[in-house]
Amino acid sequence: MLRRIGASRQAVADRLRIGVLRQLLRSRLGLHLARAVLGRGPAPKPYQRVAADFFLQLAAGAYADRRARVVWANIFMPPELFWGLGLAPFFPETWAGLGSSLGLSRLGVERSEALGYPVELCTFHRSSAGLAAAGLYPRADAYVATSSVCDVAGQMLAGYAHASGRPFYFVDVPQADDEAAVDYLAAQLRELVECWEAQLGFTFDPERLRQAVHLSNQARKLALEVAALREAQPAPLRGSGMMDQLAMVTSIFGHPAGVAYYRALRDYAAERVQRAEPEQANQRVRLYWMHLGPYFATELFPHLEDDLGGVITFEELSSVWWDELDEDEPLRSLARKMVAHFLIGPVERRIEVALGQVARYRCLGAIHFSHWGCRQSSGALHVVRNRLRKEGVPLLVLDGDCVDPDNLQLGPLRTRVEAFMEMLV
Amino acid sequence: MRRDAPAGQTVGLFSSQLPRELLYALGCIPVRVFPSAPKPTAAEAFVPRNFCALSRLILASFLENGQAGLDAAVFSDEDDATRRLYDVWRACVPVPAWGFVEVPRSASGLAVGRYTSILGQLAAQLEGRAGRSLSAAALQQAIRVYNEQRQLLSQARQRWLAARVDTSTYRRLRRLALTQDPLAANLALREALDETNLPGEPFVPGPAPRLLLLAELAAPAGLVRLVEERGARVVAEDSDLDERGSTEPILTEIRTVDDGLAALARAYLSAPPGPRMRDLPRRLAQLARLVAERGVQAAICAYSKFCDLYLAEYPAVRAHLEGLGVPVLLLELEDDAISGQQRTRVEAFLETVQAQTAGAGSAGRGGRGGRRAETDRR
Repeated sequence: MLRRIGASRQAVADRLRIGVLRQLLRSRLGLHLARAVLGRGPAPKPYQRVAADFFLQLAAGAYADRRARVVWANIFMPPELFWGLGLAPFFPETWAGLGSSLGLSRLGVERSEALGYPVELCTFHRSSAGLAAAGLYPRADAYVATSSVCDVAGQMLAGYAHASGRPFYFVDVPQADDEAAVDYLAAQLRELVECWEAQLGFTFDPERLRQAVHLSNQARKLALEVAALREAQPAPLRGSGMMDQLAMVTSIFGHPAGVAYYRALRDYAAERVQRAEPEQANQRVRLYWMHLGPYFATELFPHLEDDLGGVITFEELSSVWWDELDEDEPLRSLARKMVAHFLIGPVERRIEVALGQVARYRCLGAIHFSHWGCRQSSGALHVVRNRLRKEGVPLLVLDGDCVDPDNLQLGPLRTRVEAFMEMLV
Repeated sequence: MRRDAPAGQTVGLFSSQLPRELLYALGCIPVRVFPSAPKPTAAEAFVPRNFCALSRLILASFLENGQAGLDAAVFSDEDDATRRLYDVWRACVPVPAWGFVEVPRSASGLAVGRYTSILGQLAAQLEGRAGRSLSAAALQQAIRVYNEQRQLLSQARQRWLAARVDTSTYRRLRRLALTQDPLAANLALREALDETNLPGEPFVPGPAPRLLLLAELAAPAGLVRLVEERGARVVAEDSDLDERGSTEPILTEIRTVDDGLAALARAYLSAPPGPRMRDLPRRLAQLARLVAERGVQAAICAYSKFCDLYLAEYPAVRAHLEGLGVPVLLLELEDDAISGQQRTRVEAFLETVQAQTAGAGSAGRGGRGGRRAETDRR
């Protein structure tokens, strides 16, 4: 009986929270208020303020602007394309991560089960489906997904499009990264732009796309400077604080905020290096972090970093993997950026990037956080581990969940991290 | 039709969209890789426990049985699991991987052009391995052999639907066609058809509940036996084994190798789509066609556990089939065996369908009531 009352209270609380959030996200005033509050919050770092402002702008575009053409996309679509076409992108995976940090993932996962999504699927996508069903995601005018890296994203977006009757375009990304692959992909991007012009009712402005590519190049240059500053010993930035870089890398390039964000981050890191004031005081063992980490609050990182002195010097998914884009051939250079991703193709591409970064950041070991349901990242860890070991780099694999706190067993993870650190010290 | 080459090397494939004709024209015997291990235990040291159960089972089969009759394997860009299987395979399986083929996910002119060029690259790669050059004549001959096989399989399907061939024999023939030298398989198909040499008749639905099975490679034989023992009749199987195979004859008027490769690319990309194509409208239309043509009354999705493409598509498939009045049961399988719990769920599902069918029968036709799907959760 008591349990039933508790569950019922929880359901009421969830409904209230959803209702408030829904209203907040869809109201221009609510978003302005949130921006103001964030801007005056408890001393956020300058780059965090830029990031928060950018995501609130993103939310304003997707949720509150009725004239905006909202396109749902997976995170492997180049963001420059959206900004260059004047579209409002919405990345369900990214917002599932954000939802997790707001304590909404349990709700999302439960809702998705009711929709028929099997529990074996990645929780980013299940949570997304649930949050969308709860009305926490904005409307979509069109959907787009790439075939690269993650199987589930394309399937989910195709499903959403089918259910809503809105157009869906699937970008088939080659596994090779040669010029023929770039030709094939660039032709699809051209076709996609033509489709969107017809479906969403706008005229393609090449100058606007060129400008987005120009901004992307500027941000890239600054991001590379940040990566260089992170080589310093002691490491200037706390690695756990950089886990959200994937969200930035996959959404902010091509937007003016991208330049502001990486400039602020570069300046912040440079200042830390110059003053020899690292964010993390206890620095004993330099580590390379592979894949993602939990988006919700967990004791895992404070234990690794502060108690044990593990220094996450760089994260695999913070990598800027692409060459400078050609402003004269924007679509073609975006295609080149897409096929150049190190998670596409055989696992050796990923391993080479890992070994290069381990050497660059002078790491003694690597940790792979295997997110539940992510087959592409964890499927070939046997090969990754053996190759890293051959090069003298031990790899610790931690099984957990980035989104669902119920699927993260902290006790065993702590023990494994402790044993790994003892071995490295 | 005779091959003008000595018995070639047996090459394993992992996709229904990789043209077998190409390998056959180069003197190889292309076979689809089926798992033989009963359990994935041997694969556990190499891939995570939450990795596609079918891929784990295939890997375990080769870890346990070594080469298992294969001289080489050609991988393709099916899904995340196949990509990672390719990585792990090269590290631990004693069968050389001759290549990794990117199969486009569209049948557009652009994709066909891309696939034609990829097949050309594969041919060049295989010429070195097989020790012979690809000629237009050899390709034409290979296409004829497989066209004959398609025709024989279509006839076998008609006989099966007309209940002149039982389901296990029909499925054995289809598997034979995927796993044997095509000339030997065609001979076996002809012999089997001769034994049931009666004029073809249109399918007339019988009184048993008619089932659609959905699977990746093939529905487990144990499941097919179980449903038929319980009085249901399998009338369609949306899997690589059956409905997703390329069925239309491929153009044989080939003047150049490029002509042949383009014809193959077009035909294989236009075959009934699986979930990897992310073409939900076309895929659902294919399922709706099966439901209408075969009088399907219920469906069982027999998917491998952790097989993302199928599991992520499942809610859309379920909603669509339910909209057509076809209830759906989802089974997530660890291996080819049907567990006691799954057996119970299948039996309960069939009882409900049978009761519904009987009710509809007594109240006249049109009683497919669109009941809620049952989902196996383990």
